[in-house]
Amino acid sequence: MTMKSLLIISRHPPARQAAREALDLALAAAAFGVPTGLLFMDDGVLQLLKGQDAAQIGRKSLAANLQALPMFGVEDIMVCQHSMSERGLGAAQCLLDARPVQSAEIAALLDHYDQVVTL
Amino acid sequence: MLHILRHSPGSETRFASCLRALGAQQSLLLLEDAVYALLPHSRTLASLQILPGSVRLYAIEADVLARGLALDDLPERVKIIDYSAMVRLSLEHKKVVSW
Amino acid sequence: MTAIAVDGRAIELDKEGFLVNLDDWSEPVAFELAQAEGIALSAEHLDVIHALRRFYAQYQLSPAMRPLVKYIGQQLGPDKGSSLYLLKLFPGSPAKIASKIAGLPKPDNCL
Repeated sequence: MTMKSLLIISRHPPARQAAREALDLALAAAAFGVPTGLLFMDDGVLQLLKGQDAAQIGRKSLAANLQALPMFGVEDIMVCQHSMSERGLGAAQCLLDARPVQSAEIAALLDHYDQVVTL
Repeated sequence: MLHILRHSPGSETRFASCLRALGAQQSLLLLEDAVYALLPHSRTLASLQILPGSVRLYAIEADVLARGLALDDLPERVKIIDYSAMVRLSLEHKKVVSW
Repeated sequence: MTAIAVDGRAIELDKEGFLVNLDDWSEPVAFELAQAEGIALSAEHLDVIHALRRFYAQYQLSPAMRPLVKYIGQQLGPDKGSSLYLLKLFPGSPAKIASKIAGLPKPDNCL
């Protein structure tokens, strides 16, 4: 039996707990060999901004953890193009090599994965 | 009057509501995730830029740096302050509205 | 809480044997921690231990088995990037035991 695939949609800025939960879920799923995709959407794209210094507000760096995703086996990392443009962001400001997806592709992604979790 | 925003402008209506309610002689302080409103080239920054020149804009330095925004990229009219300046600012204003 | 003595200094450990203060780590401390796990550290062990410390410095995470194998393969060569190689060096649960000897914090989760 093949393992069911999982798409996680991460929708919150890095200082919010939900952002860390989405990342933990991705790392955990991948550690168990679940084919895992991670899509940054809405404010979730803000997690990818280079130059964050979480120590300024007494937090652990989510950005450092995010860079471990490919090492943990989460290789399908995507970012919503619309959410990026809305915030004036481009690929050059991203700390991860995330594949830009258009709004129309997101519907296809939801179809493609067996399970979808939004955090 | 000092208006304080502390949520990201991305997923909430607070940002728009606050701007609608903001009077020309009032002040706006961006705190925590609200500093994302200052992202260069963003729609939110554009709407802050067209506020009357008499509106005073402030943002907390630690929140700006924590989130990867560069101080140099911020528009001149935004005054970058620390926490003790925030306390003074709150005391200077008769009323404080948190959105 | 327990402690081990290294070079006449007491190093505090939690009840599972992880360092309480991560700054206490040094190679002599690693030798002591390894001994508690029944492992005599060789140069091969130390290569993995140092790679693990680099992993933590970069990602601020302790690796699970899969990322550990991948990272060691990248850092120390494909012949060493295998679970068999790591199991031989750190029998049982390589990611956990090697992390402990490398002075990494106990993982927040079960991974």
